Amino acid sequence: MPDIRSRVSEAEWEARVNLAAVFRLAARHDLSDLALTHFSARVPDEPDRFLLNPYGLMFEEITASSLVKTDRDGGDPLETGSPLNAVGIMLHSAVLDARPDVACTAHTHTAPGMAIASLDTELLPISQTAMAFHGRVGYHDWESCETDLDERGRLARDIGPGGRALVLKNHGLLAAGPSIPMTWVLLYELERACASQLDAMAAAHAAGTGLDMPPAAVCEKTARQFDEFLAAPARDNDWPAYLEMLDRDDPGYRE
Amino acid sequence: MPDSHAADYSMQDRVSPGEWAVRVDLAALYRLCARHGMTDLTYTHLSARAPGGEDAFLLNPYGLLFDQVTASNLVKVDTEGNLLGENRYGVNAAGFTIHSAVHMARPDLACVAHTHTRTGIALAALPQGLRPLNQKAMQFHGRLAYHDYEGIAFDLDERERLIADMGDADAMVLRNHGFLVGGRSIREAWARLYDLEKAARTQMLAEATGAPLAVLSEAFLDEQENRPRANRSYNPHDGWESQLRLLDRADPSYRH
Repeated sequence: MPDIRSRVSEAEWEARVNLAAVFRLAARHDLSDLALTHFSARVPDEPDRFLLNPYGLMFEEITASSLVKTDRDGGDPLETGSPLNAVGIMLHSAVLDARPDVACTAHTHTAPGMAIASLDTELLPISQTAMAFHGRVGYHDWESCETDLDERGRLARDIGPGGRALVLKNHGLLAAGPSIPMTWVLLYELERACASQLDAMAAAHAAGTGLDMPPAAVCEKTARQFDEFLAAPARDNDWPAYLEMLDRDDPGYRE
Repeated sequence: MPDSHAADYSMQDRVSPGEWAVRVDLAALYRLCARHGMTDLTYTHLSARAPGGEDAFLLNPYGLLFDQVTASNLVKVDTEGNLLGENRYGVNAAGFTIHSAVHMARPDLACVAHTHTRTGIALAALPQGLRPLNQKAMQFHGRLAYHDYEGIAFDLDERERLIADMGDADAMVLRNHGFLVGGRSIREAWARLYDLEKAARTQMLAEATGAPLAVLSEAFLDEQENRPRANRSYNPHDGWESQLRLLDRADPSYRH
């Protein structure tokens, strides 16, 4: 492994360590799909470039150095030669280009996420967890297994100016946050909201009841409270606790 | 009870390098299924064709759990499940008849994997089968075979019907029973088995809600001209090497 740390800025190295930690957290929570999905983080001092996981590496093996710096065209300025997933470059650059306020994006193929994406129903604000995304989640129709760079414009349209998540219909989920730690939190809560909604819908269907839906004004008020939380500097204060948990088990992600 | 951890007993020097490589990959496949909860105690088989052109197949020895299978304790059998060559274990020949039928009819498949997972059994009990609801499931659209249940014993007649039902498909739902997938390599079979399991799990969650499904039209699915290739192609970035390193970290005994 070439010495990446000596070739990048302190800010980039910190982003690398934090993004590698998000992969390890996702692996711990069973949010991976073997080596098939991808997360990105904008390089703090090179805003047109972002970090992406090399294609073929399980999340448990991802390290700060193994992340690949690239751009919307799939460039490799550090000349690592690591393979990248073409869909990953297209998907993440679409969101990062459209949304300068987004620092990090995470895409999953979990069964609950794909199940919500397979329903002709939206993510419902039936819990405080789900209300974090009320009016802040976009829906992007399935297009093709093949990479079409024009899809970037449609992804930008679908996440909109204020979205923090996308339901990729018939495909999976994407979380987009203002920081790397907050993207982890949004991904985790988005996954939980999907799983809870599936349980609640199945129970309601079997019991012949409906879902208990709070008034629209309460849902919007709650979403605004999350807007404020996500904009506050203190939002990332618990991140060292996650890193400490990972370090106790395996600090290899820092390499 | 055979001793699965007989460290002094290695087949590495007793078989060809090609067969040893297949043994290591097949033992890894058993361990990956165990890691992902895709086992049914000591039942079901994952089998691989031995290299060299002979009709010889490798599979798990009878009586071991999947996470006890190693490259050396895999047994080699002929098409009827008779033991070939050197080994100290027995074989569940009855369970092998289904594999043997597929291997004989489909020489293009290097590996055949059969599971009885909770999700696979559940999907196999649904008349609608697997729906093309998402990217995972689309690769099986129009390419997933179905075989009706006839009882535990596979007589020669059923073998013929099973092969006819499978045709040139690489994956099959054994109705009221479980899944069967093939691959042109062991890693390809694993990727397909994992995807079929996840596609089925996703459908269970979606259909249980009773809500309308986001169904893609047949015309749309048919026009995805890359679909047949997607099902057949070998993806060098499937993470197989990475998964083996994770197995090595947790328990490298499968390599022995």
